Amino acid sequence: MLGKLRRAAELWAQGEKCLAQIHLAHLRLPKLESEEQAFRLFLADRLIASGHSPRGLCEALGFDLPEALRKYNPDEPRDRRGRWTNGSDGVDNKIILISVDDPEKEKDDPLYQEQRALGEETPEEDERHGRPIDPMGPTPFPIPGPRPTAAQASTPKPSDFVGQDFGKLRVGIEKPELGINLLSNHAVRRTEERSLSPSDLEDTVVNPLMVLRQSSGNFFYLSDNAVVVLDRSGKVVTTYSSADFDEKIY
Amino acid sequence: MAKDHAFMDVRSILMRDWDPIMMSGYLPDDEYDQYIPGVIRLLESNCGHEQLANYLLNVEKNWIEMEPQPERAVLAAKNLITAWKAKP
Repeated sequence: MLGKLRRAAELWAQGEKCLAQIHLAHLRLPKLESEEQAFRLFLADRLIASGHSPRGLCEALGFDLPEALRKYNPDEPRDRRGRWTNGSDGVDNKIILISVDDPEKEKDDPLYQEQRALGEETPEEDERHGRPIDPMGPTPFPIPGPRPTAAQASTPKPSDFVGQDFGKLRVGIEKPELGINLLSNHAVRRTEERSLSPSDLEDTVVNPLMVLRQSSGNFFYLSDNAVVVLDRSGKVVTTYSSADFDEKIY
Repeated sequence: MAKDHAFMDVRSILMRDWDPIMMSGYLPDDEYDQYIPGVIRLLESNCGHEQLANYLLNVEKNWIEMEPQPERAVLAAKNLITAWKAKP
């Protein structure tokens, strides 16, 4: 699975989107059913890009990585398609492909035939190479782009999300030149109830991870610690802390 | 103290049909709880939907301080009254 994801990412980066889509189709990943799922995957990707471990993320959400991925070792020699090799240089001609006779599958499954045509390993070959993978199991992390090195990993910032559509929360924008100048009566009460300090609000507006422009015209600021919603004049409409970040935000 | 059914029903309708901040699904469940006692008092007095809608519009204007949305206030008021009358 990881080999196919890597290959898809490489092809996508090269502009070969159709080929990338084919590799993704072979993975038979479950479809995203809602904007919320897409948003959660997106946030997970950002957290991993900023240095959080995928396994730590899974554990925080209450499940572990599938066994095949726990066994994954990025230092094992692989070819450019991510398949294990018997050499260390990853050259294609060192790969040993095991042909699989499964006439029933070959008759009935067009994707199976396509896999053979592209030289991709079939699920049976994956298993023989010690990679039991359940394509319908929980997706451990989102389809990755090139994984940044530790030196490259950085905290997400609003410019990372400009133009991205977050459904009901609307669209990512650059951080506006706007500061907090007032709190609505509603916001004053919520701040007290939710034990937020003025600096919690200020920090969220000054250093947000992302800012979204909402259909109401308000601005949604998200940080690690809080959400602050400002109207166009800089008045705080509402706010809540990360204690209230549930699956909706994550 | 556990919130009773009436409170929870009102909370649910306010979040679903009123939601003046227009972020339902991405707000804490108790976002509009402050206004529920006022709504329940009106419901208990057998108010009409106009009176209840005006209460909600007042909250939008003077508390939440966003542009009032009369259609949503009226919809919420009607559904609140319907649900209140239907409760056992």
